[in-house]
Amino acid sequence: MKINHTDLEDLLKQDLETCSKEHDLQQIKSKYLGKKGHVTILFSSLKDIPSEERKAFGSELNSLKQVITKLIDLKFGDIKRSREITQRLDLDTPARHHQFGSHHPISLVIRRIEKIFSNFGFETHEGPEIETEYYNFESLNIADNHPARDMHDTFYFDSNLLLRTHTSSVQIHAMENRSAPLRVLAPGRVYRCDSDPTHSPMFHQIEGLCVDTDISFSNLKWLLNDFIYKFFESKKIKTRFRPSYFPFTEPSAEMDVMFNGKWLEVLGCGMVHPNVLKNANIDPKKYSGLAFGLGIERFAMLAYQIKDLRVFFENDINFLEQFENLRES
Amino acid sequence: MKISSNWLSEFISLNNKTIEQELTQLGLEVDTISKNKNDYIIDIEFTPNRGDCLSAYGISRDLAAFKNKKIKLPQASTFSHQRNNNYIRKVAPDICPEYRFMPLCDVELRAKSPKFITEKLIKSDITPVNIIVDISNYVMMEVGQPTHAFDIDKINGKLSIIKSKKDLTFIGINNKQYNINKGTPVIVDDDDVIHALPGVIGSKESMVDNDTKNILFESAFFLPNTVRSLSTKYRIQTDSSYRFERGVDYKLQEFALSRIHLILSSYISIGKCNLNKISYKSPLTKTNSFKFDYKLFKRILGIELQSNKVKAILSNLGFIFKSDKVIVPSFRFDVTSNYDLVEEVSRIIGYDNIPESPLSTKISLTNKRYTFQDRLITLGYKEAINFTFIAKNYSHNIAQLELKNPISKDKSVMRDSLIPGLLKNIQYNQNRKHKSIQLYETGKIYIKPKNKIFEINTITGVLFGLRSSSDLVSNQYNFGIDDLKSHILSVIPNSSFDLNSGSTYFDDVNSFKILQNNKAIGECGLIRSTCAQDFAIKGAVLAFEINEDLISESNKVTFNDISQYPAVYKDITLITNIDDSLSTVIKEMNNNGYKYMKSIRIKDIFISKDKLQLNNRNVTLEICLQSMDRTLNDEDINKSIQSITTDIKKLYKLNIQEA
Repeated sequence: MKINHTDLEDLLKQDLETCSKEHDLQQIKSKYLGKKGHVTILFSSLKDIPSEERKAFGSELNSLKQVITKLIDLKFGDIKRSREITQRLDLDTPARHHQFGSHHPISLVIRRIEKIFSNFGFETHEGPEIETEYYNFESLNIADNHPARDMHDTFYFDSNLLLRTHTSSVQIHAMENRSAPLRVLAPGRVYRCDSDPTHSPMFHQIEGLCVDTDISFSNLKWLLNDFIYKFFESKKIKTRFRPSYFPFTEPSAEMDVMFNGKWLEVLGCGMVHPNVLKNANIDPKKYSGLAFGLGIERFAMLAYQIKDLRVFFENDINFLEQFENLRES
Repeated sequence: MKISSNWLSEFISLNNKTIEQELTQLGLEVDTISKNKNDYIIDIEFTPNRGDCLSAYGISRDLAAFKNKKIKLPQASTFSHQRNNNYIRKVAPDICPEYRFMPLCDVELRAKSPKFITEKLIKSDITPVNIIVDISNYVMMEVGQPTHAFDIDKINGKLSIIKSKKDLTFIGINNKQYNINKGTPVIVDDDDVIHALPGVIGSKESMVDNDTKNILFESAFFLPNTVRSLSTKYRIQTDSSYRFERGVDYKLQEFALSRIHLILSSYISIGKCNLNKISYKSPLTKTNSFKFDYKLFKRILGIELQSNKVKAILSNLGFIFKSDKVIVPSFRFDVTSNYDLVEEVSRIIGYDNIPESPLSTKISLTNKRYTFQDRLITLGYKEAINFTFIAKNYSHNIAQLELKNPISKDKSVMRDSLIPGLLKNIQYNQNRKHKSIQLYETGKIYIKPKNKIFEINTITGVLFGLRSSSDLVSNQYNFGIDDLKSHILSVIPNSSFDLNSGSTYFDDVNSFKILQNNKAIGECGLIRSTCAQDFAIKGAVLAFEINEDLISESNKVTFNDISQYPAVYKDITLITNIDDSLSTVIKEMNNNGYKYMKSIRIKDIFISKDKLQLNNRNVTLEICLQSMDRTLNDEDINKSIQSITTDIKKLYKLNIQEA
């Protein structure tokens, strides 16, 4: 091989210029310094050189080898450093955003309540939202012209069809579809034609109904107290029951819970009125039942300290995303 | 109803510190108690069944039963009945079974109402008018019986309480004019001039004023249904109608007039006066009694109560025991059965004093599941809840359900899709500068084809704008068909897509059917730009809407053996028109069962600028080959690829781009 040793340095510089990987550099290193490398071959040609020139050539060759080794080592350093820079983790990079979804607080509360009552054997039973007079009123002992209808500003489609004003309308459906004994929970949307900062024309309720041969008011009290303790995750929470009036329960009660030193009404309940049982072909002499109904928005407002009812249906992302970390199943 | 605490004290001794708690325990909900000089004003909210408590005396009577005390009615004049037919011609029994009247002649109404009356009325939010009206109101607030005073000289002939024989009009004492239809219960004179709607409101015509000389005081038991129908139909709620609707004591009519007479006679001189009575038998004014069922108390309350105690409580409340029967007092219109007695006894004992007992445990086996909702949350959807009524013009369904009495025009028909609500949410959030909007809602849609109503459970999602608004600009991209497809495939097991012809809310060209097990269950794609424009949304909206009731959750899995030998991946690139549906080709080929072919999928799609005009694109397919029993050699691979490419060319007539 006839390579002029002075050109060898330029050749190497050219090679190094195009090289950026450690692997390629290793190959360059062996090309020059390896067993069959240019420098090694030049050294082995020393013996063919006339003795008077051999010494000068030898020392020139040595300095060449040093230059070449240094150039290659420098290149190794360059590559290593550049690799360090490209591989360094830049903490200033914003986290790749994983879009979290969120359950609506109303759904979270419904699920939480369903979960609590499922431990007592209550099963979800959904009824229609578009109801007849019969299921929404008459079957529940609310006669036409009854002053109790004042509490129900009803949306009508025609004289018989309406939007249910309470989930109590599911009571008769549930008793007709399942025979006694039964334990059902009926969550859903209800409607009253009423709209102001504290009333929404659509809101959510959950109705609970338990019919069996030995259900009493003392069971009702126990069940609802236990529910409140579980829902608000505190056994210290104070509750009270006081007489109220619903045509479909007798006795009827309202349950209050103490918040910040004040009694707050949270649900209505009572023992199923015998007329209601009769309307569902259940013998009130054999069976008795307990029923309760509560407003989901009220519970959501208490659970998440929401002050304005309207935010529930505006679906503002700034509101919805606050429930990202909540799961209720 | 507001009532002065001092007024109650005239009947029963009170402790202002415990009164709120006592009334609450009795079921008389106290809204507020506010101090007023040396008095307290108690604002009580009554449930519709407690008509007996709508007076100072009524509230005191309930408190007395609770405190085991007796109270007395206030003093009243006594007089004997007379039959005087100078004033009343006819009283219809189906409007009014008990009618009493008291004519007061040659009176001079110069006296002002006494202070003790006006002060109490003001505390109950009743504005004093003149001595006659004020005493009438006073007695109503005192004992619960509404009365009405007519100016006799304004009446033509006699009064009749009957159903109107023709359409009439009158102006009420509230100065509003009412048009009364034929057949409506009215109090009219012989010239068909209306003087009152019975139990609801008097007419301006015969209203008592300072010049009135002759007065006819009326005290009646109007049937609750009659009064209720009138007050709801004509939207008039008065203190009088409020009481009659709930039922007044049917034995109190005479007393009220006697009480008025006594008070009035101390302030103005009243000449000779008598009290007249018209009475009919009616189920509602008949003494109610039923067999006493002591056992029910234990069954309903779950506790043992002593019979003596139960009877003592009920006696205090005015119930009378006669052999095995219990007789209901005339003021407890609401009590009709032993169940009502159970409530009576428990409220006197106090609901809070009834012990609790655990409900027998039972575990529910069929809990409602929220599979799809949970999957959507994982995919980044935020759940929205919208009103289920929408503006009429958003619903394009002919079978729409329209409300007779909507709360506003933009909430007048039941939604036939969840999309309008979600579009409104996009608009709302876009206006608040949100660049990435991903929402879903589950709920019902309502349709009424051919008189039958369907409530369909629906799941709808919308995607708008950036996939994520907080990534580096270099990493940002908009939601696309790939996101939409991925979401549906992740949520619905065994789902696939097919061409759609567009629908109410979805674009004609850019929308697809969603299939599950080859059955259409919904649609997805681009929302029509006209719909998005209705909501002033700037930009494209992707959406899916699925009929939840049609989704099958059964997802059977059959295990496939796993090969021990390596898989080989080969790519081929096709040039296809943008309108050729490759998805169906791929689906079919996956089912064709080519030897060694494990799967075939679209690996890449590339549209070069020069081919764009021809609507052409390059599609790279990745074919995976694998054998269950050996490592494939070149010949196996070439043969397989050969048969696949032949089909692509011949069967599906697609061009393969040579490398």
